[in-house]
Amino acid sequence: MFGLPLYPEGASTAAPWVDAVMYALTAITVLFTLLVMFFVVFFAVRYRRGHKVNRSNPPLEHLTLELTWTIIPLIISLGLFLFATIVYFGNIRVPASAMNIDVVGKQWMWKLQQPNGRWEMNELHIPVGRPIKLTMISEDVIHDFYVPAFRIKQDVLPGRYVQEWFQATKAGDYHLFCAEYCGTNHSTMTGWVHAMEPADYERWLSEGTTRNSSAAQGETLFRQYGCSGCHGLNSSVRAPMLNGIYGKPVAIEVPEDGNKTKVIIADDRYIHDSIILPEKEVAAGFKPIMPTFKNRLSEADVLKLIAYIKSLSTSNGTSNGMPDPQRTGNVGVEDIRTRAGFVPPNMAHITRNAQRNSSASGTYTDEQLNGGTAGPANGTSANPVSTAGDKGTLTGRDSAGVSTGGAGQTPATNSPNNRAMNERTGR
Amino acid sequence: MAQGVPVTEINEEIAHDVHGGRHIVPVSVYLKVFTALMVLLVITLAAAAIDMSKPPFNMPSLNIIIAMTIAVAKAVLIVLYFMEVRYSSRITWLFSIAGFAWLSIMFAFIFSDYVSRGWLPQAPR
Amino acid sequence: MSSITPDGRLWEEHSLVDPVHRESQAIGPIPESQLPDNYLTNGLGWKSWLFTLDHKRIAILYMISVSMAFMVGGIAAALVRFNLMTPNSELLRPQTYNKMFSAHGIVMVFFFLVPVIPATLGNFLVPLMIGAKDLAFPKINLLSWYLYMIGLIIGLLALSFGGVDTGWTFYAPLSTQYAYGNVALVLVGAFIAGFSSILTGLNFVITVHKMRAPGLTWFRLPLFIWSMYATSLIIMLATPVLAITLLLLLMERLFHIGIFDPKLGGDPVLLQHLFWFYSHPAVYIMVLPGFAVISELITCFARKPIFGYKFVAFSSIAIAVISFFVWGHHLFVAGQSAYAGIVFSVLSFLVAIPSAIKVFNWTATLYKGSIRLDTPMVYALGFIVLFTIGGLTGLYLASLSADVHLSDTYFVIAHFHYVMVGGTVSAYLGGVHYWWPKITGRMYPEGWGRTAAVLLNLGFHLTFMPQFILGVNGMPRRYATYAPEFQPLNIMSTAGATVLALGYLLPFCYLLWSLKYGAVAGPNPWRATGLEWQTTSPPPTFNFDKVPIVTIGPYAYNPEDDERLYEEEQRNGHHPLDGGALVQARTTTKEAVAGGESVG
Repeated sequence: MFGLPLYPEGASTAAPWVDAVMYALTAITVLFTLLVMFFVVFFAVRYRRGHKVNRSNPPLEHLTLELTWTIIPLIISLGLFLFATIVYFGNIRVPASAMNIDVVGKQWMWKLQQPNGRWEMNELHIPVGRPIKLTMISEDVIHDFYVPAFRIKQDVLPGRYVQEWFQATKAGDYHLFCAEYCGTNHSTMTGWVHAMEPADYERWLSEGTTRNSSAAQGETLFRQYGCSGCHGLNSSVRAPMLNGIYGKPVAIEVPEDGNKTKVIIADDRYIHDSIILPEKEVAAGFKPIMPTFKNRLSEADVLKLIAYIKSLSTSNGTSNGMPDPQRTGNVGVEDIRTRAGFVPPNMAHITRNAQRNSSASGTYTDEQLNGGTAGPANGTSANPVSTAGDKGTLTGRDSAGVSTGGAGQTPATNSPNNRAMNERTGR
Repeated sequence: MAQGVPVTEINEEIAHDVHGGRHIVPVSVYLKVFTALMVLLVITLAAAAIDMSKPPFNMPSLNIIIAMTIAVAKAVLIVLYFMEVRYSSRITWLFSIAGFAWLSIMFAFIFSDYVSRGWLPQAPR
Repeated sequence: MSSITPDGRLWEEHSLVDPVHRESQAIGPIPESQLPDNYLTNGLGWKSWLFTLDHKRIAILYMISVSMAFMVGGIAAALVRFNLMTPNSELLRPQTYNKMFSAHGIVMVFFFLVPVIPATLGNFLVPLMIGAKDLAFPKINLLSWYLYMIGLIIGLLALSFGGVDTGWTFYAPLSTQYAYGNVALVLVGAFIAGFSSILTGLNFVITVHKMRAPGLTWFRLPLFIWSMYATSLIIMLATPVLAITLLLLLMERLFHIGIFDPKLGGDPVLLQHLFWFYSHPAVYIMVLPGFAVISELITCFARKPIFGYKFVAFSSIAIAVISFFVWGHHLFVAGQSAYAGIVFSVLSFLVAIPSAIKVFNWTATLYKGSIRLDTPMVYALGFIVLFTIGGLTGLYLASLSADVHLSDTYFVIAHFHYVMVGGTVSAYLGGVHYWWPKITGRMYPEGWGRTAAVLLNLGFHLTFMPQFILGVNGMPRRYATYAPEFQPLNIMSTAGATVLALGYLLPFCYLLWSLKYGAVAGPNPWRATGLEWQTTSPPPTFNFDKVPIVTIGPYAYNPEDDERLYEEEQRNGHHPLDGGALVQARTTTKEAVAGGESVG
């Protein structure tokens, strides 16, 4: 009408349902607004001062009437609530067949990665008719991935994966907005979602500068950042093997609960937290001495690493990487430096030549150093004491009992520990 | 019904109503409560120094339980005696309890979110 | 000028007609010197104002300060609105735009909407309406104004020098780790202002409990008092949580103690929980006083007792209680658990019911009334429509699936402006016009009043109706630049805002004008029944010469008698009860001007 947009295009499987809810709400809103307006105007005209009408015995209360206009809106409200909630729950369950796309929000841009590793900036190409799952995380503040035409919106939080999914029904270009205020250039954190016919999508995917798949890039990072030094196949350090770990149950130590273990699934969240907050959930039987990679790896890199670890999954994968006694042994700072690229300060005391070596590394900041203090997990054990745990005892009791100082006694919740860490940084 | 009362008279009445009827608490009560608070403080410190997750206790959550119990006891003493709620009318009781009730509403609902966050029906990746 | 009849009964025998004077009022304006002593003439120096303990003077101090805050917030809003005329932010740089909408939100919410009705009309009227001499704690009342001023000055300084670009919601980790500017200072300002409202709430609750006039039982209280009481309860229970939340934000911002930022081990959603635990009930802190005013206006200008007194009274309390259980509907897409979302959704739908009850009862009050469309009534009827739209559009945001599409869009902006501006500000302006003669002793010019009221309603719909459509189409809020297809609706909205601004400026001008030139009002120009109208206008410092004794309930109006009096008025040219002074003064502005000039 007059070139004004009155209602947005709907281009996803969710859109008709959300629109149905919106129409129902609109019908109720218009109905009641007109009803109230009608009576206000009607009474104001009919009972205006000086107009001769019957004003005798005006009612002052009327229980039936009060109950009527309490109960009818109540029923309507609950009906709308049920309708909206059913639609909502119908829309949030992610289909198992969904194709995953990684999304990283960052002041003030979107980085999106196709399954084959192709990265896009503020643009997303997707095939029509296929469920797409977005695994999203933010590098800094809260963002929000909003595509009005798909009727989807989800805040993208730092430090935690959130998901949303959609299935486009119509090819076309649709607005992508950041809907959660995120600072100066919030309004430019926009982009386009290009929904394409599957054939066009395949063509798009194969052309251009398609680099290695995200898993392959992850593998590069895995070596580059020294992960393979401890988690690699030929490592002499006792660290969990990551082959086949993805999606499998992992035993986790719960030191504050009598050193019992609990079992969780090694999913995206777990791997992400193991890299960024390694002390949070330590695999049972391993020393909490993995350094944190917070501030060293971007969220996009973490996603690549996850893709790589996921690619290692095999049908006969074990849960925890079973440590091979043959591969354990003492390592010195030099070994760690070659493997990890730097020496976390909490490892500095483990060998005699610690001081000489740790002062030599100048590639990272104080903050990283301090971050490293509290960040042991899943990993290298250079401490002679660790041999006690190497004899195949995987209950976790022994090893946790001698963990390295305060940082080793990690509660499952990350917050108190990190607060302590930060106080240290502040000092 | 009598003629309206002059304003000055009613003022005294109001003054009596708002400030009057106050229970005079002997200083000894304050001293006793203060002593009790100090004792509880020492117990708090002592209890915090012991790691209950280790033998012979082996109860990791005991530390927090003890600390919170003592904290609640201290708060109750302060509210009842120093804030004189104990000697106040029922409506004052009602309002003091309402404050805590509302606080518990906040905690209950916030924790309900944290507890149920993992329940979201999401297919594994 | 006592209103108490010789036999001491207050309303009973006159309730059908006019509880006030049988003695006629003076015709035309009378010289200042002949006006009786009142709270305005009791001490004239600046000290008599700054150190006053009189609730009425403190109300005036508040009225001046919140008007200042409103102007600052309004200027920021104007800049925001004009910047949005073009999609590419040609007036302001994005950084400046962000500072402007943040300033608009912070000033309007913390320094205008929260205190506006309780601290001005509430402060003035609560003791008068319950027949008391003052509030229970006059010194605390003055302290609350000083706290408000300290908060306001800190806030305004922080916003003028450096500014803040976090929005009024202060979401972490943006506000604690990433935003530049004086975030900490603004937090301190809002923190201090919070204590000001806690003190006001405390004062009201104790005053209502302890200082009601003899015979004024709970169910004889005007609904204004009921709503103020409910508001005070929310203020006392919710504001401390805001104080704690702001303090936690300060700790994280200044000392990097990890509470909300995941990089420090915190949870950003926790801030949203704590913030909205205060801020959703705060919406009702803002709108319940509006309900308070409307209940008084509708009854007086329909000349009828309120329909369903107890339902209206208890719906205020119900709103006060339920409002604490609904905050999670702000977090449906924030990463909150979907199951917590269900609970918050259904509770949010439930809070609509008491609001609906109020709207229906107000409408039913009009039935068989004798309706006069004076300025306050125009505001009141406008309010009913605006609030109905504002309330019903809230249902969209309470629905899980619709909210996914609509949250953080212009739909939300339009919705809460309908409630806050269409609701609270309309009610405030209606109330200011209604009680203006009581507060100042002068009448405002009726013609200008109605013009402004109509302009305001038209401008309002024109401003915010397009924003609903913008929101449905997916335009996110807080965007300095936007997609070009949204421009036509934004231009409509800005055009409406211009009309709206005119609607706000007019009352500022003619109300100031009326202070000197307005017709003298007399104690009860509206022939209303509340206790506040039983004393002179402006009231004496201690409100009543004699403490009133109340024997019947409020709103003792009778439309049939009013009609008879009106007929007589039409026949004789003047109202049988007031010698025609008011009819003359209130319908012929010109004469009032002339009269005023001859005086001044």
